[in-house]
Amino acid sequence: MKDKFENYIKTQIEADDEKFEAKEQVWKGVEHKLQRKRIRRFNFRLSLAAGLILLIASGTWLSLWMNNCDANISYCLQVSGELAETEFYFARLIEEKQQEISATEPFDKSFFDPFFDELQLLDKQYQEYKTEIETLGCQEELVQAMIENQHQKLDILDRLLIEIRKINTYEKRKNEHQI
Amino acid sequence: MKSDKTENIDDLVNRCRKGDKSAQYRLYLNFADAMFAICKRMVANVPDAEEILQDAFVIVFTRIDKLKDKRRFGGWLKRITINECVNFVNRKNIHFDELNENIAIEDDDKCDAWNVDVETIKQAIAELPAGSRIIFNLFLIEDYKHKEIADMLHISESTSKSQYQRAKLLLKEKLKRSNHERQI
Repeated sequence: MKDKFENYIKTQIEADDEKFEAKEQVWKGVEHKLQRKRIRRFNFRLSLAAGLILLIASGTWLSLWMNNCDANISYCLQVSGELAETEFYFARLIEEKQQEISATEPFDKSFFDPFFDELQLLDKQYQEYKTEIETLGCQEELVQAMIENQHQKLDILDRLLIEIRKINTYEKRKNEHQI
Repeated sequence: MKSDKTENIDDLVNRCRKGDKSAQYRLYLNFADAMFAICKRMVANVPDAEEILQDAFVIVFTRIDKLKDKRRFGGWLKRITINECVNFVNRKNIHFDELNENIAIEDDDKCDAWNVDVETIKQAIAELPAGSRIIFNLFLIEDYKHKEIADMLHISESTSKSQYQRAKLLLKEKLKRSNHERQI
């Protein structure tokens, strides 16, 4: 409970209607601070939106990248420069060897059937590996198996070329003797 | 039935919620005098009081959506303004020491005889030590309880009580002196 002194002071203060002189000046400050808050809020929302867009873009890119990796062995090999280089190396050697074989004199293909059967098997196996990579994803073991497959193909082509040349030489000599 | 002023304030609050700047200004004009008086009494310094008033209105206009009952706008604004004053005081690290001496204040029945004007009273309150002045204003003018004041200022209830008694005593002495000087 308040005493007379307290009541007197309280009444006097509450009855006071002093006017605040710097009203306009303070209002300008309020407006300025509100404006700054609005700008800060806008900037925050802008950064948030930009961050979100960046996140979505990165997510989409990552997803596309992973899908491509699953679907395409060449793309997968791009992941490892070393593997890609190896694949390219074997592809070039195989092509060279095939050109050499084509350049030899005509030969009886049935004579070399076991070689061609083996090459056909390796090609089939290679296609299976590719399908597996599309299903299971880019696994290093699979890539290694594909490289091994190409290595074997090159060996067979090598042996085939030697055998063709042997046979051709034999045929040539035989013809010379007959003459 | 609502008074015209209440209806007017309700309408202004509604418009402020929609971001109407002219409504914000009119609402400010309606309450600026009273809120400035609170700030000035609390901090006894015009530039600080203006700064606190600015911050209080910025908070009010940015949080006006959170005001559930728009009829209570005045009370809500006053609470925010007082909170801003208290935050200002807390930032200033003012010490509120508990006064151990027994402050005996006799009930003076001759209050009317002082006949001091409100400006003298305000000046005397402004000259009180910072801690005592804040507690005096919160308890006597703003009707806060000592427990509430203690929580707001992070002090004990007994400190709030003793600081209040000290302020009351000092104010009484100042007013008596002022009255005496005027009579001479």
